[in-house]
Amino acid sequence: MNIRINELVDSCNTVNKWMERFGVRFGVYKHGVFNEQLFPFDSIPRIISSEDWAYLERGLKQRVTALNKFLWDVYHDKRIIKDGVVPKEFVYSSKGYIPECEGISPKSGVYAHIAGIDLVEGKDGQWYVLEDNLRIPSGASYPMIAREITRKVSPQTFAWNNVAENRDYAKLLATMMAEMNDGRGISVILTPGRYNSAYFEHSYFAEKTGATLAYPGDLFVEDNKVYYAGIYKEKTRVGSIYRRVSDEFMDPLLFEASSLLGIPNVMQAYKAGNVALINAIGNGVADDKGIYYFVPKMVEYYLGEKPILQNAPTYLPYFEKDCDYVLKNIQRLVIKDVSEAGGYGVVFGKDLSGKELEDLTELVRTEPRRWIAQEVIDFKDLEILENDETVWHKADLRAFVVSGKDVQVWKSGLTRFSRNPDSFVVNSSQGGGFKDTWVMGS
Amino acid sequence: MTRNHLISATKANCLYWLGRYEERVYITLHLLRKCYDKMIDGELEDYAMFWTRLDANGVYQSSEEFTFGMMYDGDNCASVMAAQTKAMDNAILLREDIMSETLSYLEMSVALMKECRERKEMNIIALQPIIDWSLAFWGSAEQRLRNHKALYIMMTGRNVENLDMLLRFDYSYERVALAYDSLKRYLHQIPTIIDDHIEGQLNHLIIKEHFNLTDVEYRNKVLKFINQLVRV
Repeated sequence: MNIRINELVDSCNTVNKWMERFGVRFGVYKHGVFNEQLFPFDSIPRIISSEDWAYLERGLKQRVTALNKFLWDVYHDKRIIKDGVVPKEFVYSSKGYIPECEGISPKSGVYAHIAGIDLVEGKDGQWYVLEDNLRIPSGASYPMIAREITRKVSPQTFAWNNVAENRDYAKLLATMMAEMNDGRGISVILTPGRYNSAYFEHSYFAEKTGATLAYPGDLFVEDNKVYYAGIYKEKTRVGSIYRRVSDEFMDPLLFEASSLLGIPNVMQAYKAGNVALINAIGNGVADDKGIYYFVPKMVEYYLGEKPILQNAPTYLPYFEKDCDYVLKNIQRLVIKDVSEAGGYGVVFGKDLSGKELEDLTELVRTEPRRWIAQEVIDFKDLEILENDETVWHKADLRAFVVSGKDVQVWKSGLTRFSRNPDSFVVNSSQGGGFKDTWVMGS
Repeated sequence: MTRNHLISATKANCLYWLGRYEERVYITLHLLRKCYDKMIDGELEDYAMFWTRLDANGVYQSSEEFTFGMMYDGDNCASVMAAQTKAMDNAILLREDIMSETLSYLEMSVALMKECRERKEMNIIALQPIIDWSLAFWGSAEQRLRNHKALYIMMTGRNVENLDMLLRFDYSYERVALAYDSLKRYLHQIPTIIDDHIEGQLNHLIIKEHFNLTDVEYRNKVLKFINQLVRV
């Protein structure tokens, strides 16, 4: 590929100035204190060839289709459990499994309308899925606005290079929301509010999709239907809610009673088929780190196809054979606590002291369901501009799959990189930066 | 996508206070420039007058401290920094209504305020871009706000603040009456948010025969009514 990015790279500071101008931030709570930070942008894009993308696109569609079928199955027939493909302990002991969702049938059988699939590219060119995010995956707004800005700052770069458009993500979202809404009313994005870490994204998506940004207290349920309240008791019907509030806070009458973020009785309206929840409640059972192990098996089970995308080699201490392997090799594996997210609860055996290794070994032995272990993938470093010099750091890719009537993979994604040269952790909450992801035209 | 024409209580509140705080930024800078000009000739008492009129508690010992505090002290509720931050706090909740382009003028203003505070910039001229961006903000908002009621609520806030400041700083009857007329033009587009009783009182008070800002009781009464006129 003949790519010309010099002009864009030289404009990195200007791009970051524009990011500041548009308030491209994310919030972090540290020691109970909320801080907003600019999300550092690196102007050297991650480049994916059209051939590689075609492969990823097929794999991502296949994986998300299987995950949606799994969710339907878990909350209906449970065939995959009865057939012994996924042990029932992994489903019913998952924090993400919500019994109240049993029997609920979302439109078109779609539970994960927006899936964020985290991938890394190994040094051998093989892509591996590290994690499926099916609850509230965030991050698409950053490459979206980055593209908007980089095209302004360096138009010539985009004249030189045949880069697939990525500013259509809002259209993908809006179309999917309209399909799920089915003409029942307005579509809203429900945000927990300004002090949510992804608030910028909530408000930016509302602006770009034409949906209404709803705050806690703006929505209410009457006769099993959801309404948006106007200032003087007027109301308008809501047909779909792209909710950025966690499951447990969505309905205080059914889940966390102290929640002020949710909508009392929304689950009743949802059960009655009067409102679409995007993503569905209860998806956590399918993106549980323990369930991840079974996703390739789901692909074969539901679709009768060989999985296109590979998982990172993973071991479940729950299985005796895997447990023995993990305990013998713990010092060279990465161990993940299945209940943690955002890069937390991830421990590299090689970084632990003898005492820490002993403690972790004991925990894995006594609470095997709580952990998964993975081989450390030597994934590709990407070029990062640091103080006018190029350095190489670890990076991943979060690809976004939008499922409505059709399953569509957004031709871009959030490339996050570690700002610490020795770290594999790329999460923004832990100081990482981001890049635009260029999918090249054929 | 079906458009929502309703404005929630949260948003109405933000729109109103965004209008008020952004106007406060503009007027405070304007008044500070006048005060600053007087201080060049040694009229050091002038800054104390600011406190009295804004009902703020002055703790600054010198004109330099006063100038710096009025510009950058976020804990001083009368400062430009405090008003700009509060305008931003409200605007950030309205991105999809006012749009990112409009919001960006406030983002730039907050960033410039912080930068000037950091380098202890004492020359008020350094804040001129904030006045320019404030005007750009209003123009952009007027052009981009698709919901006219939302625009009227915000403009109502702007005009209430303008009137409030004119009264506090003893502007002439002509200026005050003009500002009150301007406020009423927006208010009557959204009659449901007006307290009719208070409007009646104001109509009676803001007429030439009754206008007397040297009468403290009169001034306080008009200020009280202005601030209670709108129910959001």
